[in-house]
Amino acid sequence: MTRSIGVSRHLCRVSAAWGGWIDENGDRRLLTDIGHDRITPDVFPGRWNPTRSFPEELEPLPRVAGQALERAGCWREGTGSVCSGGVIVGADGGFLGPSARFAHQIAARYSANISPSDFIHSLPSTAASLLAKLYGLSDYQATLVQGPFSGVLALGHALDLMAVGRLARALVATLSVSASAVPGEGQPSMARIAVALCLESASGELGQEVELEVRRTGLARREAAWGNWDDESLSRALHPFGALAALPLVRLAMALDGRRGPCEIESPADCHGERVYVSVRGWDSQNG
Amino acid sequence: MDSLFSDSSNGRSRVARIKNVDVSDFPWQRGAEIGNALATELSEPRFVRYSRLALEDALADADVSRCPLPRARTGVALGTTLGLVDELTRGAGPLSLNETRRRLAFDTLIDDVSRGAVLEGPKTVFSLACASGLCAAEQAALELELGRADAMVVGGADTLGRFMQGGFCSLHAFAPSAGDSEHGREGLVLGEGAAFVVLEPREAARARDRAYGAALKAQRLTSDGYHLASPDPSGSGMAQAITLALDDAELEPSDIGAIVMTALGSMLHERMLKDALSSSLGSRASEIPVTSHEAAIGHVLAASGVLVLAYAARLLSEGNVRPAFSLDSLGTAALVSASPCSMPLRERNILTLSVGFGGFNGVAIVGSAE
Repeated sequence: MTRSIGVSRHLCRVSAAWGGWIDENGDRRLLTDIGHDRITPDVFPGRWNPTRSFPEELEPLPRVAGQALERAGCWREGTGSVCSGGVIVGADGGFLGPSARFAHQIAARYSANISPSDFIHSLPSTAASLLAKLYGLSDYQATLVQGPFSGVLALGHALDLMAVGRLARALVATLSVSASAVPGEGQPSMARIAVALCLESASGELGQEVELEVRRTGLARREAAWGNWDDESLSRALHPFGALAALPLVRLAMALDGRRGPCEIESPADCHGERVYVSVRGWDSQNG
Repeated sequence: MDSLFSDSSNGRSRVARIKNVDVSDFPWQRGAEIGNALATELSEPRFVRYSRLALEDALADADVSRCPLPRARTGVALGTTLGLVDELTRGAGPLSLNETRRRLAFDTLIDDVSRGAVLEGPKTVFSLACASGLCAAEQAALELELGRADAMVVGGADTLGRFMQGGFCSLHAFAPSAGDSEHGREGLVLGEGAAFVVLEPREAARARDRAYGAALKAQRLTSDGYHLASPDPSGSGMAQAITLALDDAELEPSDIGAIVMTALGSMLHERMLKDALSSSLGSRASEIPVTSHEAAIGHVLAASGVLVLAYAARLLSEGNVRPAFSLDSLGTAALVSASPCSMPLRERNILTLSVGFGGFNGVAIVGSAE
């Protein structure tokens, strides 16, 4: 049983790009032809400090963002042009590597040599800041962090802002970075996959627009799902709470309700040198 | 809020040497922590504990026990810089990517925070550094405006631990920069905590027999696109956000009775804010009293974007502007009025400014609900 939580919807022109790679045993397999050489500052003249290396953690996000904006005709590589609009990122793992590294650096003892770079990129919002800086997207900025929902909810947020007229153009981008979780396989393989959508509010060009919709649906209420207790699952759920006086009587109620036949219920713990039991008998003869 | 107001008005500060976590090896060891009793309750992470308690307080303040909110149509929007990041500095040894993801648990964060309240409307988590809370308010306003929720609980939260304090140390963000000392600035001081408010459309509030004294009249976020860590010193992005918010609220600079600021303590930010106010409010900027709670509890990161809303609502209910402790020494070129003592709030609209690491500018206007 499901219920609707809400729908985000907007008619817009969409330009998209995606790409990434999988690193495995020292090899890199490209998912699309976006390339994997490091992006250099000359792609963004005047927008990126040439003395700073481009943060590898976030690649291939800026690549696909640039492709989507270029396909939309609102940005050109190597020109230093800027693009009006906002940027909304669904963060999914790009910040985990820097977070782990920075945590390790400061876990034991602070050193004056610690580079702030890992701290800056440990913030999920830095990817959006980077895209805003590189492409001049200054109208709006947001980052959603909700695990596997992040990308779709970022799209929904953009559609909402466009629907109420707060944004005319939005770059929606998501970078997923994940390590394979197969135990005993040695060095885990690493996947980086990025997608960018340049959304522009309907301009009236026939055939250029689509209606995008994000629908949120709630699953059945958890309380309802929790109705089917058996003795074992209840014991497991309540185990952390210790010896509950109500438990033997709850078991009794369950036994009566379930007509399970004869049983003996033990008290959950010894108390002042005693242990008590509740027994149920007689059903087997009555109910066969 | 009572103790925060009391501390602000009496000049008391909770800024002290950090005790809840060991930062004795850090070059900067001062911050404003939540009381020890709350912080050392280890049955749940501090982030969840602070957030859950603040959320429950906000619901109680909205009188939900007497006039319940429609749970199926009440959502939660949460903003945080780094959420459960304290979990990353527990234990030694490097963490794998998957273990880091598991400990940060962004996918279940909002469920943990709101579990006790059983709210079933839309739930969204934003990370926009210190403007995160205001971004959550933006989403909440959208949910209400688009009719997807009847009420939204909006919060911002962050904790002060080794990761956060260490990160700002690595940026030398606490060190007074040129000009800070001569103007009495000591650099940025971090705080921690959670702030939550309940937003409802006026009609929905009336329907459950509930009256509010304050209304969120506008909120706007812009992005500098200038630097990954520093604000655009020109303040143009903040000025744009102020102008847009005034337009949305259909207000003039002369309608603003006070300004609540955050991200204070360094001349870099204060000059940016001052220039933004000057260019967006014109000559009116020098007449509006400015206040802040940050001298009392430090810069509370993601919570600050929501705390300013609650603070502004409190100012409206009191009808007075509390003294500012941070803006009275901006130098001879100061355009912003500091309020040396409590003074009547002449106009019933308050402008709040939130600045987020990475060039986020957040502006909200809180006004009288009437």
